[in-house]
Amino acid sequence: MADFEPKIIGFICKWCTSAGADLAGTSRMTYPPNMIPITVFCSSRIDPQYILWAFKNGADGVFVSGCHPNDCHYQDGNYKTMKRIPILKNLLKDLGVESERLRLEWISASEADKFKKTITEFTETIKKLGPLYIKK
Amino acid sequence: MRSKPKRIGVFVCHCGINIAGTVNVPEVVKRLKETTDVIEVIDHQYCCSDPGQNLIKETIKQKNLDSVVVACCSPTLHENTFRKAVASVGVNPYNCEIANIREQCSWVTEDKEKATEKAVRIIKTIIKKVEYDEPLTPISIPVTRKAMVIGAGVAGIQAALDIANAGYPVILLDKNPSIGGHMSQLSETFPTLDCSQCILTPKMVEAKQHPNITLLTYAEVEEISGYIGNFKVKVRQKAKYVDWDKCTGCDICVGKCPKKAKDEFNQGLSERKAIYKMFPQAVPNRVVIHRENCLYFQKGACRLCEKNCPFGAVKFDDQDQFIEFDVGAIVLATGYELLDKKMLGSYGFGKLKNVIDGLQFERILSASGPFMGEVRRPSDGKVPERIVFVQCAGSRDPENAMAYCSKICCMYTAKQAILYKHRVHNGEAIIFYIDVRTGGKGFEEFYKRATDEGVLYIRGKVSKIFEKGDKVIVWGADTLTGKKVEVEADMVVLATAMVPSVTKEFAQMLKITQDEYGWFTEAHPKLRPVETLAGGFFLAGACQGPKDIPDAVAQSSGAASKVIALFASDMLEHLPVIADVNEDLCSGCAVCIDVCPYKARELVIAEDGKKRKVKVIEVLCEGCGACSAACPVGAAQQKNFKDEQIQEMVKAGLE
Amino acid sequence: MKQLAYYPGCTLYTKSRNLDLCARETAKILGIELKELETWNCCGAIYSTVQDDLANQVAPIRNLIEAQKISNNGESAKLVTLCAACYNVLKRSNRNLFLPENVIYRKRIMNYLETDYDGKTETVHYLEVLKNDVGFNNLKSRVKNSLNGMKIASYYGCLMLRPSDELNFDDPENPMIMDDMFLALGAEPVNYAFKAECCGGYLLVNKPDAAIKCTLIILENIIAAGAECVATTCPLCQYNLDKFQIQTAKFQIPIFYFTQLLGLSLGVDEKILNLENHYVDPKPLLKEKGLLK
Repeated sequence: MADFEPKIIGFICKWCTSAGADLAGTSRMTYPPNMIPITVFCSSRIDPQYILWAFKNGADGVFVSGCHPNDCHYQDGNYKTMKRIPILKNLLKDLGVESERLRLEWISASEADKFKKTITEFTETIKKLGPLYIKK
Repeated sequence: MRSKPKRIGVFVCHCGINIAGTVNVPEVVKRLKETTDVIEVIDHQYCCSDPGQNLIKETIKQKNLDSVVVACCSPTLHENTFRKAVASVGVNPYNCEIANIREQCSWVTEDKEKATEKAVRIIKTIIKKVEYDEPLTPISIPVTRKAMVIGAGVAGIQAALDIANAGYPVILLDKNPSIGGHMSQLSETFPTLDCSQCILTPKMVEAKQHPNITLLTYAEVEEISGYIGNFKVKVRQKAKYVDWDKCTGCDICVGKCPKKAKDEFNQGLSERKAIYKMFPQAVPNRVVIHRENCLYFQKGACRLCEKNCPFGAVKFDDQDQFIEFDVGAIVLATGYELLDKKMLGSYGFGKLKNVIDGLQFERILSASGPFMGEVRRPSDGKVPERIVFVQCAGSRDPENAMAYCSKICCMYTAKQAILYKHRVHNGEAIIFYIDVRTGGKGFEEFYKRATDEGVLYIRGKVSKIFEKGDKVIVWGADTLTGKKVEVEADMVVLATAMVPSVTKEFAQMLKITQDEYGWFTEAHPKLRPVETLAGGFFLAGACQGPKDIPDAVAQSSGAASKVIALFASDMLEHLPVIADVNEDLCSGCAVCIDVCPYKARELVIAEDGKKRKVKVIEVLCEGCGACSAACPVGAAQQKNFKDEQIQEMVKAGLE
Repeated sequence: MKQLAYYPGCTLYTKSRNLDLCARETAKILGIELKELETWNCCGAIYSTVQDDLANQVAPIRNLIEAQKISNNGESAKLVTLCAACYNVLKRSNRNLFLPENVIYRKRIMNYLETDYDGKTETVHYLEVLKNDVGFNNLKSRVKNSLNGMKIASYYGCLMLRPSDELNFDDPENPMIMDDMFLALGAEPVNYAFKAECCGGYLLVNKPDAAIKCTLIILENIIAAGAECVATTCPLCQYNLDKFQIQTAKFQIPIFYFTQLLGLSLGVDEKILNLENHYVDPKPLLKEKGLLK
C-alpha cells in the first residue's frame, strides 16, 4: 500500500481556485501531483453526476473548489455548490464510497498556500483510505 | 456525439527550463503520439514567441488542422495570444485550448517522472475538450450610443459632461426641480475653503447649455428593462404646474404667493412659498408649484400666481407625464442623504431645535441660507457663543445606527468649526470625536489649522444631549482623562452618518446589488470600482459609499470613461461560451430559471402551442453553467462545457 | 371576567401597597381579574447578591411554573407584573434559560425544580395589558374623572427598558406607552429628556450622594419641562424621586404610581388610592385639578 498513488480529479473554478493554483505555481510551492485539474467557469457548473462519473471511472478522490461564499464571480453560484455537495456526500455513503473521498473547499485567487495545503492533505487522506473499489 | 473526427494538433512548450526542467517534454510528445489519435504533436522551446506561433500556423496549414491544444503556461497568460494566432489561419479561436502544464504541473512538482505523467494526463483532458468543442462566434449586440445619468449632483453632472464631451448624447435626470445636488447646499469646501456654489454653478450651466445633454429635472425613473447596450427607460416627469417653455424664472409669482411651507433646500430652517425656485442659481432657472402646499389645490381658491404671471406660464391642469426612451448605458449617481436625526434617541430625536445636522449648519453658513450667512441658531436667531460639534453621530455605531465611517465628517466638522470661528470671533467651538481621520491631500494640515485656530477637540463619545432653559446640555466622556464631561452649549451640530438615498425597491428594480446598508456594490472592490455586476450600469459618486467631492468627481469621470469605451463601437461582443437548450429534451420544468443569476432564461410556449420550453436570452447569459448542472434531463448545456465533454475529460484524466 | 395570573412581588405587599391594590381594582373595573399566584417567592432580583446565580435563576422560574396553574382559556400562560424589577428579572430569566446555547445550564436549573417547565409563560407588564388586552381607546371610554389636562411626566427608569433586545418593552430611548395611556385618561403627557435615565437605584444604600445626583437631575428636567407631577411603575424609582427631593429640600412635586392616577380616573375609592403614603403630599394638586374634594 505504501506505493499506492491515488487518482484524484479536481473540479476547480476558473476565477478563484484555478487562479489560486496558478499562484501556487508562480510561488513555486510543491504538492503531490495526483490531482488532475479540470477547470470550469464556476463551481455551480459541477453537476454532481460528474463526481459520480469520476468515481465510476477510477477516481479514488474528487476535489471540488470555488470562490469563498459572497465572492462568487457569478453572484451566488458557490452557494448552489455549497448545498449540492453535502447532499451528494450523504448519498456516497449509501453507495459504499467513504464521504471523505469527496472534498469541498473555498480557495481564493490569493490563497496559494491554502491550495497547496489542501491538496497535500487530501492526497494523504486518500492514500490512507486506499484505492476505491466499486462493484461494476 | 461527434459528426466527424476532428483534426487536432498538439503543441507542447518547453518554456525554456520552466516546463522542460521537470517535465520530460520529448517523452510527453512520444506518449501522446502513442496513446491518442491526434494528427500532430510537436514541441517547441517557446511557443508564445513569434517562431513558436509561426510553427503553429504553418502546421495548421500543412496538416489542415481544425483544432489546437497548446500545452504551456496558464490560460490567463497566453490563451488570447494563441487564439488570435490560430484565427489568423482560419481556425475558430474557440477550438484552441490551453493545457496548463506550468503553473499547475511543472512548477509545483519535484519528481520528474510524476510531473511528466501529470502533464500527459492534463494534456489528454484538454484534447478531449477540443474534440467536443464547437466553433463559436462572439455574439454581437447592437449598442444604443446614448447614456442616461440618474442623479444630477456634482457626480452626475461630471459624468454627463464627460460623456457629452466625447460626443454622445446624455440624458441627465434629477428628482428635484434643479440640478446641483447636495454640493449646491454647501457653504465652503474643505480643505481649500473654496466657495461651493462658485465652483459648482459653472458646471451646472455648462451641463444645461451642452448640445449633447438633455436635462430632465423633477423627474423619476419608473421602469428600466433591457440589457447592456439596449435599455428601455420609462421616466415620470412630475407635474410642475408651470409651463417651463413660457416661464422665465422672473420670480414675480413667488412674491405674490401667500402660502408658506418648509424650505427643503434650507433643510427646513426657513420657509419658501408654495410656488418656488429651489435656490437663486437653480438650473433650469424655473419655478414649480408644490401641490400639497398650494392653496388653490388644497382649498380651491387663490390662483394669485396665475393672475400675476406676465407670461401666462402657470398651468394648473398640468399632469404627470411618462417619457420613454432607449439608452445603451446608465450611470447611477444617486448620492446620499444624512441619517434621520430621529434615529438618534439619546441626541434628542431631532426634536431639539438647536441640535442640527451638518447640512443644516452648511445652510446657516451659506450666504444664501436662512440667516444670510450669519451664524445664528434656529430657535431664536441668537448668535451662538458656544457650539458643540459631535462627530460620528450614527457612524461607527453598530449598536444604534451604522457601523461604517462616513469618511467626510472629520474634515467638514473641522471646516465648520473654522468657519464658525471666522464669523463669530469670540465663539467657542468644541468637537467631540472618536478619532480624527485625515487621510487625504491637505487634510492633516487642515486639521492642524483647526486646532491652531483654537478649536477644542475632546476625544470621546457624547452620551446624551438635552435642553436646559435655552441652553443645550451635552454629556460626554473624555476618554483621554477618563472623566465625564458636561458642556453647556448654545447649539449642537451633529455630523450625522451618510446614508444612501436610494430605496431597496429602486435597487431591486434596477437589479443592482446593495450592501447591507444600501450602498451600491461595485463589480470588484479593488479592480472594478465603477462598474456593477449588471452589465451597462456604472457607479458615480456617493451612491457606492461615502465620498468627498474630489473622490466623487474622479469616480464619475471613471464611470464616464467606461461608458465612452462601451460606445466606442456600435456593436458589443459577448462571450459565446454560454448556455444552450436542447429543445427536444426540455420539459419546461423551469428549474433552471430560478437557478440563473442573470435572468437569462425564460419560459416560452413552443410553436405547437402546447409544450413549454426554456429559451436562453443569449446577451444576458454570462456562462456560469449553473443551469446545466441543475437541469434534471440534460437539456440545458453550456457550450464547450457540455456534459459528455466533461465526462470524457474526466475519463481521460483517469486513464 | 377574563383571568390573568398575577405576580405582585415583595415590595407591592409592603411598602407599595397602593401600586398593587390600585392595579387589582382598576383591572376589575376593566373586566380583568388579576389572579394572584397561589404561592410565590422573590422574583430573584435580591438573590443576585449570592455567590452563584442558581437561586437567582431558580426563583423566577418557580414563579413562572406556578403561573401555568392559572387558566388562561387554553392559551399559554401570561404572568402580569407591576414592579419594573420583577418584570425585568422574570422576563429575562425565562429568555436566558431557553437560549439554545444554555442547554446544559438549563438542565442544572431544572434539577432544583419540582415540575418540568416548557418556557411558555409570558411575562407581561400591566401597562402592556392595558394597551393590548384592554386597548387605550376602550380605556378612554371608561374614564369617569378625566385627568383634566394635568401635566404628567411619565418616568420609566431603566429596568423596564433595558436591555432592550431582551425585554422588547418599548423604545429604550423614547418610551411612549405610559404617555399614551395618560393621554387616553385626559392628561397632558409631558415630553422631557430623562424618561429612561437611571434613578440611582440601590446606590441609595452605599453611595447616596450619587443616587441623589441622579434623581435631582431627573426632577430638574421634569420640572423645567412644565410637569405638575410624575408617574412611575417602579417602587424604587418612586421612593428615590419622592424621598430625595424632601431630603434635599429642592423640589416639591408629587410622585405617583401610574396605577394611582389610573384608579383616580376610573373612580377607584380614595382609601385604595392611599394618597397618604407619599413624602410630597399629592392632595393639594389633585384638589386644584378638581380630582379630589
